[in-house]
Formats: sequence, C-alpha cells, structure tokens
Amino acid sequence: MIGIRQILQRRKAVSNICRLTRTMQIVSTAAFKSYHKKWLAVADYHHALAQAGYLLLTSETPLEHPLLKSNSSGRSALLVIGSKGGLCGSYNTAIFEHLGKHIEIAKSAGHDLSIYAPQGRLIGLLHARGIELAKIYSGLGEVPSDSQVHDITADFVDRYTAGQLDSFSIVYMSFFSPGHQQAQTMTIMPLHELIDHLTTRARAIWPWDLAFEDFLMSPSPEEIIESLATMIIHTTVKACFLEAALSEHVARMVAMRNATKNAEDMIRDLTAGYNRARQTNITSELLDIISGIGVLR
Amino acid sequence: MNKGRLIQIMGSVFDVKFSPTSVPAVYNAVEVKGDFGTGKTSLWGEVQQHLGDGKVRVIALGSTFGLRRGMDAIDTGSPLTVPVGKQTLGRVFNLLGETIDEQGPIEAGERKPIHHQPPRLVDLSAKTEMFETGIKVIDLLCPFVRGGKMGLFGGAGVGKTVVIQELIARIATKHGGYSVFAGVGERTREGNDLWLEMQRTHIGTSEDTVLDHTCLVFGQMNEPPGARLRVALAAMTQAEYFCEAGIGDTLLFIDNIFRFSQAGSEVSALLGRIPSAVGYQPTLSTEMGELQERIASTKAGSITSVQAIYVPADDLTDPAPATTFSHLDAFVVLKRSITQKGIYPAVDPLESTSRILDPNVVGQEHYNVAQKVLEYLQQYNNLQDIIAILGIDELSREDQVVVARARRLERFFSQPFLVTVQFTGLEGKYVSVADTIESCKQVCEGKGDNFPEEAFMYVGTLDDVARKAAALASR
Repeated sequence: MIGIRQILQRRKAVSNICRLTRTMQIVSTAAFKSYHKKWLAVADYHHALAQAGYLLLTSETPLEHPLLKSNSSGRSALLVIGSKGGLCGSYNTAIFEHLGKHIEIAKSAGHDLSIYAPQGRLIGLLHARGIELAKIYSGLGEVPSDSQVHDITADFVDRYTAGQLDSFSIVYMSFFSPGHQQAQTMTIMPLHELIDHLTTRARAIWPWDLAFEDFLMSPSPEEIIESLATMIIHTTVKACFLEAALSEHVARMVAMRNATKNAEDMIRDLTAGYNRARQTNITSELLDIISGIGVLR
Repeated sequence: MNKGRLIQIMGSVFDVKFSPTSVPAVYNAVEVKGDFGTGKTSLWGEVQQHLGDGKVRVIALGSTFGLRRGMDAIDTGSPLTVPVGKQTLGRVFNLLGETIDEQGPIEAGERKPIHHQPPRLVDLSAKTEMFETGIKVIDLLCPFVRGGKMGLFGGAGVGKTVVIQELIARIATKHGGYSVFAGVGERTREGNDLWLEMQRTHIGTSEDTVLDHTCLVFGQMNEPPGARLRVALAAMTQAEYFCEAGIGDTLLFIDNIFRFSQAGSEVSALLGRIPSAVGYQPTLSTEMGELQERIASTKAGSITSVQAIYVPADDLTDPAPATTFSHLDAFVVLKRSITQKGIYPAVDPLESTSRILDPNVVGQEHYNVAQKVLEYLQQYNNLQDIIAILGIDELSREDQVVVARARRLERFFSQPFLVTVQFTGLEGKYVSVADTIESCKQVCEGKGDNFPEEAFMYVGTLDDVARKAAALASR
C-alpha cells in the first residue's frame, strides 16, 4: 500500500534528521565546556580590572580623560553579536528583539544609530527586515583574536575621542548560567557607564568599605586610567564575544536536545502508525481469504 | 391477488413461496399481512432474488419483530411507490410514503415507483455554472456546481451534519425551487432538530417557512437495513418528480450516503453474496451507481445534491467512500486534525476540490487566487516536519513568510455559521465569492501579515480581520 511506503519514507527522513541533531548536540556540549572554562578564567581578571576602574572613578578629585567625557553629536554605534551558525533555537530572534528596542528608542529620540555586526546568521534576518548595517566584520572566528579586537575597538575609540560618537554599546547574549542566558546591552563608552555596569553586575561587587584614599598609587591616577581604559575596553569587547559564543553553544545544545527529542517522538509515532497500518493490511487480507474460503465450502 | 407463504426468515431477509407460474418480479413490493403480536399487522418487503421453484428472497423494509413462518405475503405487482408532487411539501415521510409527522395522511395524489431507469444520456444538460454558498473555503477551493453532486466527506464527529444543515440554511432560504431532504441512517434526534429548525426559518423575506418548500424523508439508524437501503431512493423519486415537472432547480440533501452502502453490506451476506474487499458487498459500486446516476440534471430541470459521506476510521481509501468519489463534481473533505485546531468548518483545503475549479468556469482571477492559496498551504504542509523537530526559528526567512501566511489563511477559512449561533454566540457570516477572492488575494500578497493570527478566526472578509485586530489590540 502507498500509505505504508510513505510512512517508511518519512521515518527514514526523520531518523536522518535525528542523527544530525544528536551529533550537533554532542559537538556543542564539547564546545560549551571548553568555552565555559575560558569564561571562568577571564572573569576574575575582568572583575579585577573593573574594580580598579571603579576605584579611580570614585576618587575625590575627579579624573579627566577623553573617554570619560560625554559627547552630544547625536550619533551612536551599536555592535550586534548574533550567532555564528544556525540551529540554535531562538537565539537570533532574542537578539533581534533586543536590538529592535534600541532602534525604536533611537528613532523616537531622533538619534542617529549605526549598527555593526560580525558575519553570521543574524545578517540575513537584519537584511530581510530592512535594517541597514554600517559595517559587517568578516573573517572573525567565534571569538576574535586580540589583534582583531584591537582593530574593532580602535576605530570606535578614535571616533569617540574625536567627539563623533555619543556612545558605543554591544548587544549580545549574556551568559548567567547554563539554564539562563539573556540578550542584553553592554555600554562600552562612555567609560564610566561601562565601569558602572561591570561593578553593579552581581558577580563583581565592589567592597564598599574600601575607598580611594585607602590606596597609594604609582604612577599617578591619570596615568593609570590612560592605560586602564584601553585595557578595560579591550577585555570587555573580547569578553562579550566570548560570552556570546558560550551562550550560542548552550542555546544550540538545548535546541538540539529538544530537536532530538521531537524527532524521537516522531519516529515513535511513525513506527506505531507503520505497525498499525501493516497489521491492518494483514488482517484485511486474512479476512478476505477466510471469508472467501467460507463461501466456497 | 397473487398470494404466497412465508417459508424462511433470516434476520431482515425472508423467503416467500409463490405459485411457480406467478412469481413476483425482482424489486416488486411484497406485503406480509397478519397479526405480528405487536399491534402491527403488515410488513413491506422488496423482492431481491428468485431461488427457483416459485421461491423468492425478499428484504424486509421494516422490523421483522413478530414475523412468523406461514404468514401470507401479497405481491403488489409493482415496485414500492411513494407519493410525489406538491402535496408532499412540508411533510415528513418514511420510505413507504407514509407520513410520520403525526399530522394525518396526505391527500391522495400521484404515486411513483422508487425504481426506474436513470435519465438517458441525450436528455442530460451540459450547463456548468457555479453555485454560491457564501462559505469562504468552499466557494474558493471547491466551488459547488449548479445541478451537480457535492460530497461532504468526514470521519465521526467532524461536523458533516452541521455543514449540511448550514448548506440547507444558506441555500434553501434563498432558493426559488423545492428541496428534498433524505435522512439515511443518521441520528433520529438530528432529524427532529432539522424539522423544527425548518419550521422556524423563513425563505428570504416571505411568509413561507423553509419547511413549506421542503419534503423530508427519514429512515434513521433505528430502522432495519432494508429501510436504510431504500430510503434514499424514495427521496430521490420525489426530487425527480419536481425536476421533471419543470418547477426549477430542485435541491436534494442526503445525510448520510455511507449508511446506504452500509445497509447494503448488512443484507448482502443474508442474500448469499460473497463479501468483497473489507467485507463490503460485491455489488457496492453497482448499487452506488444506480442511485447516483439518477441524480442528474436534465433539460427539464436540475437536481443539485449535497451528500454527507461518513469515512470509516478517517480512511478515504475505504471502498464505500472511494466508490462515491467518482460520482461527485465537488468534494469537501472534513479533517479531524483541523477540528483539533478549533477551525470550523474543518475543511481540508488540500484534499477538497471541485471539477469546476477551472479558469473557464470560475474565471481566471478566482483560479489564480485558489492556486496561490493552495501553494502556500502545500508548502506549509511540507514544512510541518521540520517545524515539529527544529522549531520555526530554523526556517529560512522566505519559508517563515510562507508559514505565517499559510497559518493566517488556514484560520481565515474558519467561519461563523448561521445554524450554530446558539452554540458559538457569533452571528453567521455570508461572504460573497468576490469578497472571498479579494480577501484571500490580499492575504497572499501579505496585506494581513501585520494582523495577529487570532484576528483571522471566525470573521468574514479581511476588513473584519482588521476590525478584530484593532479590537484585540485595544483590549
């Protein structure tokens, strides 16, 4: 019967998909583990930098630095980190929705927002919705190398210092735990907002009882902030990419686990349907034969 | 008077011995007279087989309760006859032509035998014209044919009877001619509901109720198989009379034609026939052909028929629905998976079709829109497995658009019915073909993409969708 053959064909197709999704799940799990290790290692260093930055910001004599000054050019830049590959569930949709809020706010405030993004799955989605990109970074790995990060940030820092940019932020998928990731915005410049952001995040709480005056500084705070600023920016941008990659692998892991489960459910249903159809065929053939014999007798 | 004696009884089939020189002809009606001990004194039967030696095998057209060997059986000399003509309007009959609405017998008038030849080929009319129902999905994808045969296929409880009652409400109330309704082996309660409903509903703005222009014939599921087998023919005969009298278009509703096949299969083994595929009678397609060929449009007038067809175990390849398929001009397939989405009428757009969905009959615009709609729905259907496994986010941008529009179209094909107002609280919507085509065209072009899917449920045109979307947004 045609029905039975169709069921078998479908079951074969679904089991191929199932094999694929299961492999993807295993690959993503391995990648997640290695990124998670890196992320933990970077976190401590990142927090220490943020704490040092906070210390300098809260000094009684305010520090002067071009990256700490606010601009009012009416232009801001946004770096959107989407997924590198596909098959990661609603990862890009979540990022896109978050980005949508920025676009809306910029539009209502009459702000000029230019959007930058690394090559990846998100680009297609943005194009389809008619969102123009100022630049697409190509040739980046899942996490860009130090020199690539330097190239990316240097451009924004220069324009900020020249007063051409009000702010520079990154929209990415933040990793809280393997069960919780969320699209969020990290403001990189102005610098005080970045430090504010980093120190108010739950895992980098500044010990409030310590004050600027408790420390002796050498060289002078102005000189420290000069190199600290580039260091913080560089580290944060890289950390954002790392976190995005980490979240992407978690998302893919979860998506693929669900897909495998769905495919397995479907295979089970199809198998049951196949067995039932097969048995029905046998029964009706038997009935025809038996009733035929019964009549001939 | 040609008299015989009952010599054998097997369920609803019995044998009568006549004198070998005066055996009643096949299909002649035979009346058994005597005291049945139940207050009943007569039982009608129809001759099916000659067994030789003056013996004939007869199927009982009523209950054989109380029937005994040795009773007298009288050959009436002709097939069963039923009253025909205008005096039958507004009344309810059983297959013997007796009134069962407890309003007394009808005036004596012309009677016609329930068996006769179908109209000759040369008398058939070749006109093809669309018949508007005001139901969006039917008008767009499986348009009805004036003077044609339409089938409503569906498993148990998917809404066949509701659709047929809705069609009666929509068509009969606007219709100039007369209607005949045949209740074949369905729930007795539904027959009663229909009768009461027809007394209440008026035709257009006139004083006449729908019942005044309708003749109902019932042989419901409480009846023995012989009655269910012949009741459709009795109704058919009455419809044919209106048609031949040139009174205009006659509507014939049959609910449910499968019960006719089923009744045939019940008596088939008793008549000594070898069961054929899936246990059906070997004469399944012959019986169906004899009935269906009589539903025809001739030069004198046309019979437009709508038949409900039960699909056993939701399997359309079952011999009973499969033999019916080939006789129809338009099929409306009702699907369980669509009722599960809460969409009524649960018409499966991909399986339902019509002979006249052709640019030469319905027009190029209608045809193009219908094809476009089917294309969207087919693509959505093909993507179902991927969506079920990987989720909608993994589809390409183009496929997501297809899915969004297909889901909207699917919901847009739900429609509030005139006969279900008391259940749904929604007023019935009549949508003209032109509006249906225009709305569906706009949805295909993406003009409905910004409205939520929910706004497409149970509305009329796309303008109603816009209004509902606004109402949903303000809530």
